[in-house]
Amino acid sequence: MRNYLIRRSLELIPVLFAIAFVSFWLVSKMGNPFAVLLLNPHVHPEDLRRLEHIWHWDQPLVVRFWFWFKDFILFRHGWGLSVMSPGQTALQLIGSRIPVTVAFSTTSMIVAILLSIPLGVYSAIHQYSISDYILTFFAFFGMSMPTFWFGIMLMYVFAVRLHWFPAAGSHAAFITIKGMPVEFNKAPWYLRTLNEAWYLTLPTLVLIVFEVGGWLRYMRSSMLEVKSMDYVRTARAKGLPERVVIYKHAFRNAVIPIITLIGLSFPGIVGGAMITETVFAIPGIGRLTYQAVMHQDVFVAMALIMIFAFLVVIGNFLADIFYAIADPRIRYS
Amino acid sequence: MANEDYVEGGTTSNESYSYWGKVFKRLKKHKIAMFSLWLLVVIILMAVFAKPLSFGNNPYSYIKSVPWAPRPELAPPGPGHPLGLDSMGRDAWSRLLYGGRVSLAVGFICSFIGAAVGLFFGLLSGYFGGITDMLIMRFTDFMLSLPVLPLMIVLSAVIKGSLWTIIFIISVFSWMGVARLVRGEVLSLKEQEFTEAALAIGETPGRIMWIHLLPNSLAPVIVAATLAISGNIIYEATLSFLGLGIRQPTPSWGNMLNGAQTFMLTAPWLMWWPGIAILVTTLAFNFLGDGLRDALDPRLYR
Amino acid sequence: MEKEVLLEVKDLKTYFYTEDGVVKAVDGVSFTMHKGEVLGLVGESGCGKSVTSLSIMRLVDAPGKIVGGEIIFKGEDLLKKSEEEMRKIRGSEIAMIFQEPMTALNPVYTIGDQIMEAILTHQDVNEEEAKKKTIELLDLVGIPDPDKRFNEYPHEMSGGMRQRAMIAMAMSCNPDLLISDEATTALDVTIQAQILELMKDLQRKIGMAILFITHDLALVAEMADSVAVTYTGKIVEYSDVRSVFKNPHHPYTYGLLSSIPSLLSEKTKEPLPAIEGMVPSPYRMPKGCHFNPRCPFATDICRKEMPELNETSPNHLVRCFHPVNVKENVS
Repeated sequence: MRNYLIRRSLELIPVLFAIAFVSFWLVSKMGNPFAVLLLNPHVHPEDLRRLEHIWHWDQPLVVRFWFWFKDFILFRHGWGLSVMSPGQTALQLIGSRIPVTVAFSTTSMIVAILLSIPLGVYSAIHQYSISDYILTFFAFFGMSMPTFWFGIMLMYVFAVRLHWFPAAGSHAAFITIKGMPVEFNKAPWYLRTLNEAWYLTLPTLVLIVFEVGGWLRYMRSSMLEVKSMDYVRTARAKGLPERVVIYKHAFRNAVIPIITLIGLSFPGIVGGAMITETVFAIPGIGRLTYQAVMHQDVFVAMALIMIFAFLVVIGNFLADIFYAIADPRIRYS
Repeated sequence: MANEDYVEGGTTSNESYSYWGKVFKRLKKHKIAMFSLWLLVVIILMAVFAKPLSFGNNPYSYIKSVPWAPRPELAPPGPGHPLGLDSMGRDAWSRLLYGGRVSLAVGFICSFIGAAVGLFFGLLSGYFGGITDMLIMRFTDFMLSLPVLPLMIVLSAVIKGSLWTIIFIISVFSWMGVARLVRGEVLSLKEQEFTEAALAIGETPGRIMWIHLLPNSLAPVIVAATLAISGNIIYEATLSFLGLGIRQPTPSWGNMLNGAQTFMLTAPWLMWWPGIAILVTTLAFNFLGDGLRDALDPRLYR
Repeated sequence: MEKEVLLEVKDLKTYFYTEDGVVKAVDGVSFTMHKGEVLGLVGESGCGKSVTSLSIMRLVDAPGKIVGGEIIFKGEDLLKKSEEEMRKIRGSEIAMIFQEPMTALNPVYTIGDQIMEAILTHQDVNEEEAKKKTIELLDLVGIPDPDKRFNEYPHEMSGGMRQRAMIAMAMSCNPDLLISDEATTALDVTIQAQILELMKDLQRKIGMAILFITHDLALVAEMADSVAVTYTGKIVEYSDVRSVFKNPHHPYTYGLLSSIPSLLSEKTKEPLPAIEGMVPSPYRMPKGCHFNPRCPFATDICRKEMPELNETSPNHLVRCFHPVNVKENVS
């Protein structure tokens, strides 16, 4: 088991390296990150050339890549300069945006798991019932929904028309405490959290619907498949109560592929978060990626792509690990 | 008995006929899938006959003025313009129909390319095994580890978008699932004796793959391809929504929603229809794919 | 030596309502089992033997349904019992072992856990006692190092050992009736012999009755006291094992026995006689006696009417208009 873990971890490194190289090659094609600085009348072409030299931008692709990769791995030089936010390094900029994205995407995942697993099991046990049809239809709906449009619709209905939730942003600038407007950063933590939760409700909902759609169906079909397995029949033949048959024997087997699925869903959630942040103007790393590409901010874009790639790879890795833990057949072979 | 008699998955030509006949019969029982199929036929026909259905409107021409609104931009629905005009003063209804052409075309073509490429890699990988298999699978795993949407965004920014570049970008990320699926099928088919029998009578690997392995792996590929169409349509819509996919003035369901937040208050109807079109189409493909999957269930092999 | 009647199946009918039609998997099956008796239920695949056993346990899944008959176990009709009452009987009074031990055991739990579970469900003991009993059972069925094996998973054991574990599981609550549904079919011949030995041994020790379902006549000859031959959901011949094997009356039984190759037979140089034709599809049953298209003795009446089970020799029931090998002429 430990060997398996070590082997899998080692396999990650060349994959990440390959992703880094391919991404770097693509992103560099976006353009010279320093060229945008020329828009500033105070910047002379010689300054530009000096900057390019410092950052090795005048060297061939492979050299450039190597220096950048080293900086990235070792967290050096702030991962490069940010063009969009002058004065900030890429690392600073990204660091400030990560918390929001992590907050609402992990919340959505937790809620989605808590919803889709029980509902999927219920749906499978009561196959062909009305609730099964309704749940299945809802699941398809969630799976097929274009997330950006769903976000827009939610925004329109609940924010613009009903005013139940704010339409954009991740928190208010001022929170009213005892009738007095207080700057957000100076407000107590629980009010700040509450306020952010309120702002992030709609975007989280978008992600939840999308995630539950896929996972519920998968849980249902996994459970259906397991339900007709021989060992479930054996469990009944032993005279075990139906509850034990379903939850101890069937569910325990059916849930294993779901764990894998959730790990493999990371790329989708990453993408979903990107779109949702863009629609709701949330200052997270998803929206930052879009902005970085639009502004040709090479360093920020590369760092973000690497972060996403890392998340995807980690997701796969965790999925494998959990699978090995959950299924003794893999663990002991 | 001719040596064309195979075990299990292989079939004589007579049995092939009733296999697909059986499949279709089973599919017909799945009411939602059949409904989706007809719905898709209607949608496709609407896109194909966009010209006559547009009531003489053109998705590209800027209407100078309409009698029921002060300005042509974002004009509400009225006679001759059932969905009103968009933010540039163009007829929204015809844009919806022509946009359907683009979105559906992208969905189908990307799915087809993805299936073809996936079949190719999967057949090679499964049949030859060894180093070929390892290399192809490593490559597939690598592609699957890439963060799809961020890279699609980068690619769209780097390669100036036309219809075919978008198709290329989306196809690049859509073959891996099929490759794995086909490889799995081939591996299990290889175990069955008819492959050995074919080799024993001197068939070349190419022929074996084309004549024997491919037809038998087709079933799950068709299911995967159908389901992939909906994913591809959403990718195109998302990219176009962000301003990166299909560029103006060509309409697509996605780019009609570009900047929807700006006209949300003044012309909310412009926001509904392209989104509903996408949702209904993807729902239909998903139901159809699901129905196909049930109809092609291996339990069919009695 | 009249033994107590344990199980009386009377005219059991279990039908499957599929989208292609009604399959009469069990169509009027009757037999009686006494305490400690081994009844062999023989027939080709798809003739309804497994469904019979599942019906007794009331484990028939949709689209199947028990539509008629009685199953009198220890004097009570099982078909009239509630689900909760059946649950108490399953595993403790009637136990079942299945064909594929790999898939019949849950892969994510240890076999110790799975056996203990049966004990804890039906018996009022604590975990420690259950564990002790389980290890004793594992030893009883011939599994070496039982305390180590207790913590093993099914995939870590060989096929023979898995089947032994299944037997241990079935025996854990001292059932009165053990249903063995092709339990040895998936095993190697040598392992098969060991398992059969084990079953015979346990049966003698505990006095358990066994409903031994198989398609293999040789096994029946070895194990069974009585034999019931089934064809398309009906019993066509029913008697004690000697009578059936020495004097088969039904053409089907006769055909089956003739087609067994024998090293000692004088007919070693001749081609093996096989029964012509195939088992009919459940959706297109022949009219009259279901065996008539394949029967060399079929006449008009066979094609029109279904024969009843008649006692053609003492204690020897046959469902045929022209039974063979009969001492007196019955027609």
